[in-house]
Amino acid sequence: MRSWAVRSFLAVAAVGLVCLLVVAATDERDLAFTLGVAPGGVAADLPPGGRACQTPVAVPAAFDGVEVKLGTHRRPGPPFEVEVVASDGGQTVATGRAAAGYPDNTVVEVELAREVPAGSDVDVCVANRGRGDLAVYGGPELAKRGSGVRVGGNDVPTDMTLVFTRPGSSAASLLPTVFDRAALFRPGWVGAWVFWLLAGLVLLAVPGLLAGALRSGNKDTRG
Amino acid sequence: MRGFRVGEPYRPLALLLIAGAIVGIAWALLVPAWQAPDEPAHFGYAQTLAEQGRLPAAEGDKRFSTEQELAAEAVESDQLAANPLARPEWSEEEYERWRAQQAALDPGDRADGDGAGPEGGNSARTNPPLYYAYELVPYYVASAGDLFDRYYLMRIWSALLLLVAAAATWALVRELAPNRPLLQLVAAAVVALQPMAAFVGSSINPDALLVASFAVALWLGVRVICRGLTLAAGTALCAATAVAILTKATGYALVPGVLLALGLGAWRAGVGARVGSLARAALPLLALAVPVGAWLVYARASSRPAVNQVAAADAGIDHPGLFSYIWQFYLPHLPGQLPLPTNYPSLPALEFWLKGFWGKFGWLEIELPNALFAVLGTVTALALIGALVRVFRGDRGRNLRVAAFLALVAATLVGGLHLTEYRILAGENGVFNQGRYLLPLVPVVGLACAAALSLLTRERWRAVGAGALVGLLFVAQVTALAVVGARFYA
Repeated sequence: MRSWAVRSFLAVAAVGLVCLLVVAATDERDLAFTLGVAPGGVAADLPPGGRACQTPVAVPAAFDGVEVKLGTHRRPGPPFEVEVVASDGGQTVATGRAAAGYPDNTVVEVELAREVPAGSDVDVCVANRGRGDLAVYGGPELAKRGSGVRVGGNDVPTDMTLVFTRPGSSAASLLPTVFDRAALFRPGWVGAWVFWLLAGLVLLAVPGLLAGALRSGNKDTRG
Repeated sequence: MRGFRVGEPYRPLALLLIAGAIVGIAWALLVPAWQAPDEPAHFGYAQTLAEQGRLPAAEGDKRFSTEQELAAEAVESDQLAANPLARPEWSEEEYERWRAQQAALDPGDRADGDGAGPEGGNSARTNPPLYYAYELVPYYVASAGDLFDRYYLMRIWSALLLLVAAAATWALVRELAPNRPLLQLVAAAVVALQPMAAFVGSSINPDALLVASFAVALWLGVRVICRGLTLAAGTALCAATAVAILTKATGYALVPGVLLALGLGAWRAGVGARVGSLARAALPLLALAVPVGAWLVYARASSRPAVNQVAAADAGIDHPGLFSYIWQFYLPHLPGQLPLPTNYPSLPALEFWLKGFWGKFGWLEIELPNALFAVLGTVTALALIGALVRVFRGDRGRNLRVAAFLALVAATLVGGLHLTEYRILAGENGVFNQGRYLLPLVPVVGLACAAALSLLTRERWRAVGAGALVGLLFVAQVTALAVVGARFYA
């Protein structure tokens, strides 16, 4: 017969794992990738008709949306467009438009008309299509290595805070992607398979070992 | 043919240590490079020691080696640190680009980091060298490989130290409750499975050796108090204390408690032979004084600070100000008190000592869910209250002596952290304390959990409590790994 220690351990572990599983299955993740630039200040001021581009942006994963943090000088935000153009030739890859009226200091997500495929280098441009001023938030130039901001053909020593999104998937369904990503910049012998193995060991072998330890340790009869 | 079998009393510990090793390896490989507190500085220190055979310098113009800078730039570690918006580099192309650049490096590119530099130098350079010397083993073993071969082996090697701490905690409880394998297991499990200890322990960080040496010293101190002082036990206790001090200045927090333990041990052993006991008590101190003295002499001769730079904050002590700071650390602000700076949370004790102790990962930007903090905080509080009650049950004299030793170590550590932070605060240098600085006390939390469980008089309830506690630790571990994986890779 299993000991009470093992029973209570298994009960708590099972409840905890079920809760985690529910969270992982319902937690929608729509991040394709990010430039990782913290919004520390204004990266580019865009008067009506102004346009700023982050260039070049390597695309490690396909995306169909862009999040950008904007300042509007305490007024309802003007409409703006996000244009994605190929870095080598300027051909438009995808565009999206945001309606006017969003509040100051807000992250606005713009849906693109089509998906931008992985593996290319693109310029991501924000163009002010309204009558009010627009400020794109970002950080200093070194925030994103090898990429910078260009306004009206001039380089600006900043990077824009851009987050690239795609249709949401549950965290659980992203597990293969997570392990592929985790295997980069690791020792040569580490591939995604190591993380699958470790996940199996942590979720199955560790509770087994702990249950075994509790069973062995529960021969404690002296009060 | 008979297979290998671990002796019955050690079997629960052996199984726990295997589980702890799996968890440690998972942590070591999951967290991106340089995404644990101060890891760039600690790796840089170890690399300077390994490649140049010297400690990081106070003067120079290159903080880290070219190899380290190249790898850090490739994974964008600086942009990623404490920035929840950022993710590590996910691009295969960038990885291949870095591999090509790494392969083209000269051997000298590993050895051109001074430890100093225009941005203030290596922040770990004032640490004593013992932990970094320990890390030379994996560094040399993997020296034929690239930086990440060495880096992750160093992490895994570091993770073994938490198993030492868990085993020492098990031995500590065995000293006090030799016939209670379940309680021994619970205490050791708290150490082996505490999420923050696992995270810090499996990074490149001297705190791993600090926690291990504290655990060993606490065990040996309790042993000396319970069994009386012998030359061997006293010497081992002092040596463990020396290891802690030569790892990080925080190790000095052991000294008052260890002196108390030696005194109590000598008193216990010295009925009718006090002079001999005093000599026996004094002799082991050489195991503490000689290595620490040698380090102090070396540090002075080479114009190095002998303790971490943070402890050298030079502001004076204003006692009412210190009282006000400590009050507001644990209790709400009162009218008339000078408020803490705005970068402090409203109740720092909860933020630092609860959340930071149990689970703030990366560069502290990743946290366990609040519901889990609530459960872990409640369990910790119940365990400490239960342990306090337990002191006055059973062999009260022995329990009080042991409690005095542990309380003195804890008070010295916490008091030292507050004093350091207050002096830094007075110098307007900002927040200092972090929950991980309390990790050397995690064996005490383990012991408290065991002591509280021992209050349950019915065996069935003790078993249920023990199983539930280990289950909670397991769930906390898995949750911690999940939130860290999601933050960096999802």
